[in-house]
Amino acid sequence: MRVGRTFLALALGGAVLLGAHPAYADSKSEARRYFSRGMAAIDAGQYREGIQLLEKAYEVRPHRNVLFNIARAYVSLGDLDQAIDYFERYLDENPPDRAQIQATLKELKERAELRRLVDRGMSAIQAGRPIEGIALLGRAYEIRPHPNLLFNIGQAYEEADEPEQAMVAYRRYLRTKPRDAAQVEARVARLEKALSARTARRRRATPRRSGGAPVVRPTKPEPAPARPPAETRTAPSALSQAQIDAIAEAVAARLRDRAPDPASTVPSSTVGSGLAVLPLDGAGASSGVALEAKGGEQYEEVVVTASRRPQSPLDAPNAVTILTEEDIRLSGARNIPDLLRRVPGVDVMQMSYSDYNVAVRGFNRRVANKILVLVDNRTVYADFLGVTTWNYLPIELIDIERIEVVRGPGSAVYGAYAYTGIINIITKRPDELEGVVAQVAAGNGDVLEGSFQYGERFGRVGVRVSGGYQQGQKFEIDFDERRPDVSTPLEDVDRSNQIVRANALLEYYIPGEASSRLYLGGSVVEGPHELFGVANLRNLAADGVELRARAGFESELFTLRSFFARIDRTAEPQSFSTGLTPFFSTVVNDVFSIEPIFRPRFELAGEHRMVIGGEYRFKAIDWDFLNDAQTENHFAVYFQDDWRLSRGLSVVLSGRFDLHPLIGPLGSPRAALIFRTAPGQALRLSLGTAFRVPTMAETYLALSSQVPSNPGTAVTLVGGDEDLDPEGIATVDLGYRIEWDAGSFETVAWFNRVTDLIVRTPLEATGSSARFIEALDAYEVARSFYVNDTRSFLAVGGELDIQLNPLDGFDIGGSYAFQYIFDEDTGDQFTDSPVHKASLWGQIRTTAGLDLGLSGHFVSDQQWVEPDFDPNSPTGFDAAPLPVDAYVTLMARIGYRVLDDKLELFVSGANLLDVGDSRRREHPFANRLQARIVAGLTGRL
Amino acid sequence: MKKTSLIAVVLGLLACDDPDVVSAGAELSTISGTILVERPSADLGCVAADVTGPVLLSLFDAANPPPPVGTGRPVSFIAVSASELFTAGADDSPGAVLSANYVFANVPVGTYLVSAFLDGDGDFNPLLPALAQPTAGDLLGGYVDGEGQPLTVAVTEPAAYEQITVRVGAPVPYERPAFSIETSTLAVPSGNQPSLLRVEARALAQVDMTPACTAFGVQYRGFVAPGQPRDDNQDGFADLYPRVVLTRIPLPEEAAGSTVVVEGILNPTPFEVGLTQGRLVPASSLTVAIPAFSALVGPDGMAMVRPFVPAGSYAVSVLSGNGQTWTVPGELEGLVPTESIPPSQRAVVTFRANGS
Repeated sequence: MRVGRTFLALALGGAVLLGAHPAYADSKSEARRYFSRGMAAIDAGQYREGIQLLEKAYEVRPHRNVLFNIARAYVSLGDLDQAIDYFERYLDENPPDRAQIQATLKELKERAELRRLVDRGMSAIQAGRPIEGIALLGRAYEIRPHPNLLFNIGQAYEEADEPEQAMVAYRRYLRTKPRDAAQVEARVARLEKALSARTARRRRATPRRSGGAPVVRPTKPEPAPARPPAETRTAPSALSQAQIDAIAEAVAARLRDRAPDPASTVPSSTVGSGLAVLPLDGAGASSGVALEAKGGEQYEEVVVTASRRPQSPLDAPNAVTILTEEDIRLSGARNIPDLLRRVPGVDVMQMSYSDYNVAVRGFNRRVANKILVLVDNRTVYADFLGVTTWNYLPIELIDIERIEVVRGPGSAVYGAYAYTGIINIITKRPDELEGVVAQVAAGNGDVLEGSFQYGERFGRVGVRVSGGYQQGQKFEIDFDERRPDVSTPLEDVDRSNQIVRANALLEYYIPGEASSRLYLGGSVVEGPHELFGVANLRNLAADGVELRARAGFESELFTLRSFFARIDRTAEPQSFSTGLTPFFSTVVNDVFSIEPIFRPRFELAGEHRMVIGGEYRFKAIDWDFLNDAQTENHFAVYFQDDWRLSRGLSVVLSGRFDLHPLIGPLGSPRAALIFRTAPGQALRLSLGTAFRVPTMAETYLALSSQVPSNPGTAVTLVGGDEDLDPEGIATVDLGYRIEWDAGSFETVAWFNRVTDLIVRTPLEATGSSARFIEALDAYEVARSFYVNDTRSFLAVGGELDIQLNPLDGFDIGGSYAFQYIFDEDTGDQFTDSPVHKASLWGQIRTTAGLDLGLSGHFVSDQQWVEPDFDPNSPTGFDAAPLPVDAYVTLMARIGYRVLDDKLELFVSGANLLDVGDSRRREHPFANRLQARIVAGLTGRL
Repeated sequence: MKKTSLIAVVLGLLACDDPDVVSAGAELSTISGTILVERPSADLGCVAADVTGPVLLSLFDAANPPPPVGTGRPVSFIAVSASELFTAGADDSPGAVLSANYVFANVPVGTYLVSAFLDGDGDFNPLLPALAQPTAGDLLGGYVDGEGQPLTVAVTEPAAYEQITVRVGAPVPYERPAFSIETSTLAVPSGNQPSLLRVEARALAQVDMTPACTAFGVQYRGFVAPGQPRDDNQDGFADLYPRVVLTRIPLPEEAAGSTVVVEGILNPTPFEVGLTQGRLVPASSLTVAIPAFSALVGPDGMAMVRPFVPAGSYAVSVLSGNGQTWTVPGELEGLVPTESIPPSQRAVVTFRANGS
């Protein structure tokens, strides 16, 4: 037993050593802390300390901007070799300013060479080899013809007892009109005098005098120091007189060929003290190599969604939460909705292994359609339903750079569907990638996942290719295929999904414009999955393909985005009573969108940062459940002005005008006041309106189904209405946010008034107008329609969110959200949405490579009103509330990084409390959830 | 112990586990088979030889049969569209037999009758009793033996009951037996003094009835032996269709649930010539004797025969031998606006006690 323990200890120790890590895994907040402290030290002139802190930030979370700033600090320190080394490493990361840095690097290398020549030249002079020194300084002069070199050459010639040459150098120096001209002229005069005397002496065969220590001209000319005694000369020149003459001639030629350039920088120290390299800052010695320090945006919380341009969450007109790449990796979430559970105000409802619905601030639904979901600023929801099929997003988790969650309406700049919130998934750009990442995982429930990503920049072209596969079993099957009265179209009744994804992006970086690029991309997603529909369409089997193509131009000032999306899918019940006619639906939905965006900035009674944009959107649908194929053309224009009245006060005015083909013109204004009460703090008050236009399904649908108890009859479960009004929402949102090095805190209070919700009517008997539906072999006996709810709802809520990084390698966070929705007239509670939600999560990263992540989420009980068939009557409609008990769900992950993070082994789990009899539902009709644990590995090449 | 439990849970989670099957509801059966539709070999008055339309199949509890034998409502109802019967290339010449498959889903244990008809004129509506039955021009049938007698399907356990062949081909020559009450006030019958009720066939435009096809179809209810019609009530008269049934309209203060039913007796004499020839005899009016007997049918369906007919207002229903039914008042309710219902369809029969 003892041997076993010893072996285990050795094995563990060995494993830890094998994976010995210089740093924690990436952590944005830690890196941000090191970065900001390092930059502060550099700004204070404490370059060594600053460089150390930046190196620490780079260890925690590598980013090329840190390399740049380290290089820049080394330049300031005068350590050109280190600076060159870091700039070269920076270039290896394919930065957008490659051309500029290459020029800088050339300059630095030239200076380094210059420095070496000057150092060696001055050392030679100091060592009593003035002619060798003159030769080296002459070469330096050839590289950079600075007057001071002439002076030093002149002094060296003096030292070499070559007064004629010395005078030539001094005179050329004097032509530059130096401030010490009088002193140098005096020296020239002295030399002339001495030369005359020498000539006279030579005539009298006077022996040659020996030299003393050379005097070098400092940058700021000073009177030449007293000549040291002759005995301080350490070594005579080893050159022959012929060599000396040749060098002198060459130097003279160089001096003749190149006019001195007073603007050029020059070694400035005196002999023996080393020549300080030219500082590159704005102190005057940085000519030609002036580079702005790069900010720590990579470590800062930056959002692009709230205003359609990058900004700090402190400046955003909405409450914003950012989920980082690291959050995704460490949380254990294997899909985006599970990760969203930690965002306050977000309602996540898992229906099955592969079907989720997500809402913000209430009103979640089986076909949730009240939020706008974007990938890289392009909509990815199914346009005809307004719903996002999370399972079918064309991206891999490893593609995601961050997820921005904007809580609260966003129609003012995004229009329809940004009704209660926006979720924007930002993927990594090709120039941020280098090489291949591959991940495989398998777990219980027959879960098998694989994804890969390759990204590289080749000069001005960047490429990213990624793809993935996911499959898993259902949590449960709500039919028994062995029963004679049950039929299923499924070949594999256990399978919940089997999705294949591929995504490619090609970028061209425009020369001279660091942030400008052209891009072309496309994606395809294919495979079967589960999907919960409306009405009595419970768990459907969906299949098909979704294609997307995108092209555009991005720059700081102007953006042009366009995309085309095709959804070509089928849906049918997973099971049906033997003998009934199962509906089988095919839908083809095309969307084309083109969107120009301008982002001008100007000064007019303060700084204005504007966003002005427009959108044209074409939609076409051909669906079995519609009476006819339909097309729609939408137009919109919008603007947002972030007007900075003063350092601490901004007014954000936004507005959008939509022209809907059926509804007509729609306006959605918003105004926000943002007080930057102190650095890192902001108080925000927003008021606005938003809308959600009826989807094509809500407008045109005619979906009928047989009544199971009386199959000769059918009901139209949902019928569209072209006269529907858009859902409206008016909101007031008051938020306070504070950010500091070790975390952030946000609190929000909000109030919404919701009108014209689109709901289904109870079933109404068709009476004498019953028609025979040939496809169903049934007579339509009742219909339900989409109508605007005549009730208005008031919703009040509050959110708290705190994220802390108290120690290196340790993050902890928590959130709480409260929402209470009620009928404006009767005060009756809208019980479909939970009143309380809370999340707590923690992440530990160790230098030994071991990572832990744990998160828990609480959701209070709900009473869902889901109108359903009354089994006792074909036209009955039972709207009794259905309870969903309060629940807690748990996610966890253990990861172990080895081989310098190139390989990571992990085990992660979701719904960890849903085992045995404790399994729960998140919706009355949903599957009981089941713990899913996967083990896998991630490799990086 | 804790370690053991933890390991068990982890192993359990990682084990290759199939999803739980949580099938809801009791296991049910299916009844399936083929529909054979035999078109008439030639036009038959109101029935066209090229009749086409969906076939409507109803499943009845054998213990609660449909009209005219009982008043049962379908346990289940399905439709088979015309396109399944009259497929491209199928022989649709007069007299041709067409076929399609059918399935009754979700059938609980029980014993069932299957009736069917082809809706030749496309006026079927399952929601409205006035339209949820065959009309002139339709073809009628069911699961029957070679003599046309109904067969039952015994569903004894959940299973697929197959090869239940439904034959449809009997022409429906007349519209539903819509009528007006010509004698709306009657003295309550007593002893040997039946009251006489007269009803007259009516073609109602509100339900698109064809006047030429409007009549009561009179026929024997059956035979106990060749040439010997049934006389189940042993009143000395052969039992005839249509049945004429009166149902008392309860007063507001009366307890709901029990129903007073009186069945009239149709005098066969005017129709004997045609009846003895085995024909369906059209009649434009019927005179019905109302005997001094009534049945009190409780909520449980149990009937108690009583030797009197309570005074009060009664609705009148005429039930043809092929199941066609018409009731006055009420048949048009829900079908046309109330104000459009003609007075003849709002009338009731009122029995007044002698001397009152």
